[in-house]
Amino acid sequence: MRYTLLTVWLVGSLFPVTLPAQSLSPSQLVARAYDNQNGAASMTTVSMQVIRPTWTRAMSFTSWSKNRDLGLMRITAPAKDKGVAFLKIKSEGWNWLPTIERVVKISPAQMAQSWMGSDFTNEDVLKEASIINDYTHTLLGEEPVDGVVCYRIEAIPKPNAPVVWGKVLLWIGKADIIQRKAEYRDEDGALVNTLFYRNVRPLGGRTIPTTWEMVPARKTGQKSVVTIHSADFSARQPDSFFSQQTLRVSQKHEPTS
Amino acid sequence: MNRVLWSVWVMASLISLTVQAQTDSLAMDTTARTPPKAKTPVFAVSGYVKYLNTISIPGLSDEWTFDNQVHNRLKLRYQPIAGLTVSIAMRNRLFFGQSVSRNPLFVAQTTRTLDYVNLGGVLFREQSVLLHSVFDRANVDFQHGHWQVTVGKQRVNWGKSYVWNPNDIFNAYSFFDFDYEERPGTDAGLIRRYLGTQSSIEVVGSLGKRGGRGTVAALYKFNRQGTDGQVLIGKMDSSWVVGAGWAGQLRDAGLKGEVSYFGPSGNSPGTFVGDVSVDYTMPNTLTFRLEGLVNSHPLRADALAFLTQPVTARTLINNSVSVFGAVGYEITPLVVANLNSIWNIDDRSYYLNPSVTINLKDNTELLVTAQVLSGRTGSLFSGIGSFVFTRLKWSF
Repeated sequence: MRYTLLTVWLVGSLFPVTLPAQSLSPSQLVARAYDNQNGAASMTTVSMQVIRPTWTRAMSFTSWSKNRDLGLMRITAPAKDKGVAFLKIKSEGWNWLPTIERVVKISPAQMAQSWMGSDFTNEDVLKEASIINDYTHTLLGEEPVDGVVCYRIEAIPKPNAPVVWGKVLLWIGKADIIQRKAEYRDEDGALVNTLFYRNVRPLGGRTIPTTWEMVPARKTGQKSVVTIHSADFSARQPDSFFSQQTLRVSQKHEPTS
Repeated sequence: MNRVLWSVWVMASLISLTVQAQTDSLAMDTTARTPPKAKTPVFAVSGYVKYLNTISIPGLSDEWTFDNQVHNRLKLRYQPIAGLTVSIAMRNRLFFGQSVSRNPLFVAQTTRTLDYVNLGGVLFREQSVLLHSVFDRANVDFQHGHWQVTVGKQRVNWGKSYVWNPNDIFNAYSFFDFDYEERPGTDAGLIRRYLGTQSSIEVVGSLGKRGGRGTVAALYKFNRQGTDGQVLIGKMDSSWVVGAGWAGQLRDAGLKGEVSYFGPSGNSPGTFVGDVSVDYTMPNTLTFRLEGLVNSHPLRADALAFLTQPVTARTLINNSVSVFGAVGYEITPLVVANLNSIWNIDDRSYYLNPSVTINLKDNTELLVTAQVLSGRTGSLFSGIGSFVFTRLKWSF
């Protein structure tokens, strides 16, 4: 456990300064892109629009993450869902339902389910770092996305990895190692979802994509758009912040540093 | 008492209207994609207003009864300093219709409570109208470091399973009372110490109903190899209780369960109550849920008494074996269909509960549901008939 954390810390803190992008392996590129997006720890305020041909729904939430395997998210609007919260510790997830004041464990099958009715799954939201840990990565070549030259990387799940996808294709900016696009494919290789990372701009001291669009391949007129409004990468919650204690209660002064 | 309730209700309604105006503007902000405010307000009011229409159908050829209920919940949360939270929640229900005027037991059945301190009362009563208000949460919560102390009317939620909770020894709830989403609370004091991110130990003492002895118990929660577990020991009324519960997984499915043993007391023999539930969700959102409850010495109350009385963890059902089965499906993220069923094995009675929930707007929801209760003559659900409910809910 300690060694894993130490390794993660080393990967996260040493590679960005010591290794130029050209000498990174595909797996290191994926890890670096992830860390460029998330930092070692972050606190973000986010809104999401779920867009369907005949309706749209909006929601807002605050999200904390640390060291790839700790995450906490609390919904702030709409009123109907306000206070609903999610906790991730490694591969386990919990859901706080304020109406019945209960913590409910999320089963592996529920991980593949839509997150709050959007085109993101619980797994996309809670187990984001799984793209580093649960897949093997191969560099397929280079390809531009929205005019930016990108590495095109194929990610295939490791045997017995607890993931839902058959294959994931990633496009990572060659110059800035920022993720620009991802394609999620099923076991037959058919395209299920495409995630576009857009509006790359400085926020909270880092340059990150601030708009994420998840577009399902087989459903026309349907997508979910996540917009990051503010980000604080200097937030240094202790690991103990990611606990059932925090999950249950939103404090007036939620610790942010 | 009634005057106090009235004034609190009026004040709280005014506050909630003000807050609603602010929330509306925030909701518009969100659509316009301006940053949502991150800080939690010091004083928060939330809640909902629901309209519920009930049609009671004893039999197709019998006389049907039509009832209405306007149900308002007001939740007030005040955090004067970090770590200290005062929570108050009020349940206001206005009933009008045939049951109010025709059922002589209506008031008693509607206002029945197990609380030691009853902070509620009938505010208004005419032949066909009844207004009942009750504070079902009123507590002060203090957290410092890994310690938490909560005193007052609160819900002590020790359950793990979906339908039946033998570990819920402080404030068991009835699965049939679907409109009481928050479920009942209890008058209690809680001391909790968090031992880690997923581990805690707590001691709770609650006051029983006047004349009752109350419940004192300790609970230890832990997480081992991907499974949440808990063990409890205590005294409920005058019998000892030991229990355990868990929430884990069986391959991709969720596997949860609870067992409790209530020691003998007076005329009641020692009773074992155990529950196991499995839930599985397919990629297309089709969800299956199967739960079984066994009770070594079920309470043999008659059906009406059983269904209209508040339940306890020992008397969750009056059969020795009951099975719950459910299928759910998201037709769209806004339209969710569900079919719940309960099968009582001893007396061959059953309960069917189809429902459709339609999310009309961000905060407005329509629910159409039915409860069909039936079974052999003399069984728990025989002769009760069916109910159709239509409910419109607006949250603020």
